[in-house]
Order: sequence, then structure tokens, then C-alpha cells
Amino acid sequence: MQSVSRFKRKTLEALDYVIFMAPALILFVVLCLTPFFQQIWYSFTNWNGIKADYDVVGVANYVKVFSDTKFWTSMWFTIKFAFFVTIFSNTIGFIWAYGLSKSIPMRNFMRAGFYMPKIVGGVILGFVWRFIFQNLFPVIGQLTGVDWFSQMWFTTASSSFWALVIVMTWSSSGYMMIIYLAGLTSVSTDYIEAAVVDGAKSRHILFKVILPLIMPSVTQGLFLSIVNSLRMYDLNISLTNGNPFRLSEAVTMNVYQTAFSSNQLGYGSAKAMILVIVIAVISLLQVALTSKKEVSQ
Amino acid sequence: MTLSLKRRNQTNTALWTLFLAACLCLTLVPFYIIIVNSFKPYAEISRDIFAWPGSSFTTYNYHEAWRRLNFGNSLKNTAIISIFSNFGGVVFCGMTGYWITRHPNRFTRLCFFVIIAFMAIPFQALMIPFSRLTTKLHLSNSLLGMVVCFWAMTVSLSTFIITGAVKAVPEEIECAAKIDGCNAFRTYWLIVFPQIKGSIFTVATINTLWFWNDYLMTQMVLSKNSLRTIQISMQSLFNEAFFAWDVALAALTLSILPLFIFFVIAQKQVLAGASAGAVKG
Repeated sequence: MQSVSRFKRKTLEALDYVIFMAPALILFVVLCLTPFFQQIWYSFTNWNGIKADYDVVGVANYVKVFSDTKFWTSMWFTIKFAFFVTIFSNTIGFIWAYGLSKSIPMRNFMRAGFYMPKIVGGVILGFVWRFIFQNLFPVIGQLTGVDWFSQMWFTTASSSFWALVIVMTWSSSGYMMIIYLAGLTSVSTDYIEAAVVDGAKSRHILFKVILPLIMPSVTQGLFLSIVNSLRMYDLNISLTNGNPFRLSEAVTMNVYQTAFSSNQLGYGSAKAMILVIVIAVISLLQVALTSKKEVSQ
Repeated sequence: MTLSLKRRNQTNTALWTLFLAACLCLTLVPFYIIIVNSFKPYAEISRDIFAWPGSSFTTYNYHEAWRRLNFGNSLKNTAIISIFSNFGGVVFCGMTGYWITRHPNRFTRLCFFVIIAFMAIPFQALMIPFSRLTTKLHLSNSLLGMVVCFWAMTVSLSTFIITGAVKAVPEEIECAAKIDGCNAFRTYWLIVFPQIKGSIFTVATINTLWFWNDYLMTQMVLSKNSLRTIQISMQSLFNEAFFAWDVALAALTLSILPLFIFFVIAQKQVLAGASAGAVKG
């Protein structure tokens, strides 16, 4: 009698596991884990995506990538892009957050306004700015006499690069502001008051008191902008589409081209895996470096 | 002494207000330019880009953009995908996150670890087999298939946020419910779910913005013309041979508008989500 009820209880518990865990877990395993491991496997083969059979070629794809100058040009392009976007958007985001942490009028309105660019996403972001670069910037150039504005955007590698940096910074500064604002509001006013009583200048309070206390936010902000800009794709195809002569092509676009346009699925997979490794290494290095500077409150 | 300090503070605040207001105007200039010029014929745009539409005001661009984008249809597809995809994060991941937190054992800990570790893996790491896999599973070229793909892609982030929320909920009430004979399913939906509603909203807003704006994955799964989302029909509009900026600007405004309305309504959740779900972006 007792063993029957125990059996029943066990079955019910197993059923609960199925109800609660199975849907998400099955989806995750089938659509996330499976293609991930498949892609690792493909990167060791010479599959073209059309033929049914393929050979395992070992690390040949990876060796080939190392002599692919086009790939390393776009890798360098992407890393440089991520570097400037990270510096600019975090600096701007921090300045805005610092200003907004004071008791200024219409704070909430301003906060929402600064965040607005972030909701314009995907290819739309790039198209909006194509118009700004081609039609508004020349007008500003004429009005102010600054030639930099009136240059022909998207015709040289460097102008395309800076165009991408500008747009990405515009889009993500408000996001960084939110991150820093969360950090700044968690700083206890006691520390600042104590520093004021001790006669510290506001410059010193900012760099010696506030900044060390919000290092966790700095870690987070840098991490997010590095990862997001290394992964850029939508903005790339909509704003420059790699022009001129594929010189403004970030890595994801290069991978996409290799895998789907020239049907080298194996080779493309190897390139993609290298991108993933580069993202992991850079972001882990950054987190290790900045979290060392964190202090407890 | 205190008076002068106070006055210094006041001028300080005033300066900051001015500075931030200027920054805000600068940030919002692109929106102004796009919207104002979408109501003008092309000749007027090149004459004075800053001017209000005035006598040349026209809604022709909007009629044309609506027709060329097949906007009604794209909007419908995008809305269906965004709404039903949220089911995954809110229902499935909510339940999984709850179960993982409340039943710590070897199995659930392993699941949690793998799911969280996957947050660090960008879509690029699986996109090449992904497009073939969706074809094989008959998920491609169907709105339901697209929804299922999003259900899977959101598992990592949504489960992560929910587990954090469940940890903050005291367990005593659940125990009491269990003693009263409430089963796990009812306990979750009647007792736990109402207490983690805030995080559920956060998950839903982060996901909605993502689903709405997604391009890379969506274009792999949906290639049929009738299934285009706003992002995809926008991309094809800009690749057309007879491209004109006046119509394109109206199209851009139309595409931004739904998300703008969403942002105004759910502003608090979006901004809370921006710092809570900051792990992914």
C-alpha cells in the first residue's frame, strides 16, 4: 500500500519535471546547442552545403583562414570599430549619467530622450543615417564651413569606417547612460558628503570617490559595448554594405559572404568560430582587467 | 559660506541642465530631419532640409511607402511574431527558471550552467547550420516556425533573469501552499508568478524590442514575400532600382512609429530592462 503511494508520488514528481523543464529545454537543445556543435563540426570539414557528402579536413580550414588577408582586414576593421565605439559611447554615456544624477529639471524626460536612438534597430538604423550623411551633413558643412561634414561619405574606407562609428555611438550612448545611472544612484551620498567636508574639489570627488565606487558599472558598460560592436551586422549591411570595394566589411558580413554566397560552409564555419573566440578573449580580458579595480562599498 | 556654496550649486545645476538639453537636441536631430522631410516632395527636401513642410505639405510619400512596403502586411507579420514569441520567455522560461531555482540538484544545476554559458555565444556561432536546420524541421517560411525559433533563442537570457527574480521570493508561502494540497503547477501560477511579475515584464520588453528589430535571423528563416517583416521589407525597398528618398523617409517614419509608441507606453519597463538584462543587449 505504502509502496504504491510512493510510486505515485515519484511519477507525479517526474511529470512536474517534464511540465516545467521540458519545453524550454527541448527548444534550447534542438535549436541552440545542436547547430552550435554542428557548426564546430563543419569547421573541420570541406562541405559546400550542396553536395550530400563531404570530407573531414582537420584544421585545414583554420590554417587557410590564417593566410586569408581579406578576413584579417575585416577582423582588424571590426576590432578598431569596437575600440572607438566603446570609448566614445562609454564616455558620452557616463557624462550624461553624471549630469542626470544631479537634481536637474525634467530628468525622466531627458533620460527617455537620450535612450530613444537605441530603440531604432536592425537595418532601419543604417538607412536613417544614410540620409543624414548624404543629405544633412553636406548642408551642415556648407553652413559651418567645416569640410569634414561635406566629404563624400561611403566613398573611402576611412569615411565609411567613421560613419559606422558615429552611428553606433549615437545608438548606444543612451544605453550606456542607463548602465552608469544605475551605478551612480547606488553610490551612497555619505561618501560624497564626507569628501565635501574634508574639502575635496568636485573633480577629485568624481575621480577618487565616485569612479572607484561605480567600477562594476564600468565593467558592465565596457563589456556590453565591446561585445555588441564586435557582433555588428545589421548596421553594416544597411549603412555601407561593405562599400567601397568591401573595405568596410565587418567580420560577420565576411562570414556570411563566405558561407552563403560562395557556398563554403566549412570554411565559413571556421571563420565564424574564430570570431567567437576573438570576442570571448577580448571580453574576458576586459572583464578581468576592470573587475580588478572594483572596490566594495 | 553656506549661502555661496548653495549659489554655486545652483549655477552648477543650471549649467548641467543647459548642457544636457543641448546634447538631447543634438541627439534627436536625426528624428526631426527624418519626420519633417517625410512630408515634403523631393525638390523641397533638397531646397531646405530644416524647414517645416509649409505649403508643399504632402502625405503622398506615406501612401506610396505604405503601398511599396506592403506595410499593412509587414506590420501584421512583425506584430504576430513579436507577440507570440513572447510566450516563450514568459511561460516556458518562467517555469524553467522557477523549477531550476527551487529544485537544486545535479541535473538542474547542469541545465542552469549550460543555459547561462550560452549567453556568451553570439548567433554567429550557430547561424550557418541554423538556416539548414530550420528548413529540415519545417520551421522556415512560416510565422509559427519563426516564433518557435525565437522561443529557443530567448531561453538563455529569459531564464537567467527569472532565476534571479525567483531567488528574491520567500519560499515559506509556497511550502504552506504545498501543505494545503496545491500542486506545483498551481503553486507557480497562483503564488510565485504574481510576485515575479516585474521581472516578467522586463523579460517581455527586452524580448519585444529584440524580436521587432531582428534582421539576421529573421531573413534566414523567412524568405517568402508574403511573410516579410518590417525590417526585411525595408531592406528590399532600399535595394530597389527606382529608389527615392522622399518615399523612403516616409517608410522609415512608419517603421519607427510602432516602436516609438511602445517605448512611450512601456518606458519604465524598457529602461529598467536596459540595466537588468544588460547581459545581452
